[in-house]
Amino acid sequence: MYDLRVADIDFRLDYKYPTMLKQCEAYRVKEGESFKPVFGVAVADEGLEIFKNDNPNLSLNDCEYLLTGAVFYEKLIEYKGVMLHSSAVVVDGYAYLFSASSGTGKSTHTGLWLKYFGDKAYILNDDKPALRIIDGEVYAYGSPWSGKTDLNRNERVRIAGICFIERSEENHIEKADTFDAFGRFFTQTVRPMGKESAEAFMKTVNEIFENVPMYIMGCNMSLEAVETSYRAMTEGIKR
Amino acid sequence: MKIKDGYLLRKIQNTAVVVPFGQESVDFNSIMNLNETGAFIWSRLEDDTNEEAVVNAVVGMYDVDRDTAAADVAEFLQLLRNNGLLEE
Repeated sequence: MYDLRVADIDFRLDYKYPTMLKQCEAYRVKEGESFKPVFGVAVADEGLEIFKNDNPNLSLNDCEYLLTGAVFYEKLIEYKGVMLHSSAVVVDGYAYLFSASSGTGKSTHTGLWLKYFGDKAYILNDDKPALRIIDGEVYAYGSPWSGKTDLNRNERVRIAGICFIERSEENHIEKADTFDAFGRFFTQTVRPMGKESAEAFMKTVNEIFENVPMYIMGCNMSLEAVETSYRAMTEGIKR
Repeated sequence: MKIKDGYLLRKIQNTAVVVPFGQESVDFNSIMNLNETGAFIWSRLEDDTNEEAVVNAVVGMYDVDRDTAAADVAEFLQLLRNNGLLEE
């Protein structure tokens, strides 16, 4: 078992394969540092085998990475947090989140941000940032689970906005209708399993919607797409 | 009759939405948006009840005659049945 702190949640986690060993390095609690674990998670070998049987194209290493993430993000709901399947890029102390189904181009879009802003920008989490409400403020956190890339940082950052993206020839961005945005949010998160968890989930998501502007954007792969999202979302920052 | 287990009605900002959770969220992969009356009728159906009691509640809550209320309730119940959300 390793002592980890992810999204300001202390917990113990068992893992042994290379991806997790590497991804969790920056989240391990150091010797002598205060540590108050609120839960412990061990994914049993049989659990991994069952998961692998359902997903034969994955290695045990990949299965461990995906399953531990799924377990952590389900627990996160109990701590006023939710995962949003998105790529989170940080500029000037604000995280800009771009969410969509796999293959749409989230990472491609934030990759363009890195190109456009150079050293001014970095990826907080390329695939599954944790969102948490701390003292009424909504934060995005890096975590060990960042999808196919290892792009993540152990930090928390205020959120400028959440943008749901679609591919389009022309770049355009609009403020999202609440129901439309919620529908997209719901398809890009870890669903709550029990009733209590569903209640906590809806409460957290409502607070996120109350505090974070939501957008829908059609974008292509040009740097103009970056200008479009950056301008609109920076103007929309709630201070 | 009552709403099937596995669904929760909550507001996101001012929008009433129904979400599935647990196994239902795997089988019923969508969410619903309810207007004010729909949300009120849904809330009446969270505990076991009958159609007449729901109509009475609507008449008591809104400035509406009984026939209109009964028609609205019947229509909403049919919507729930069509989506497999009602236990009878």
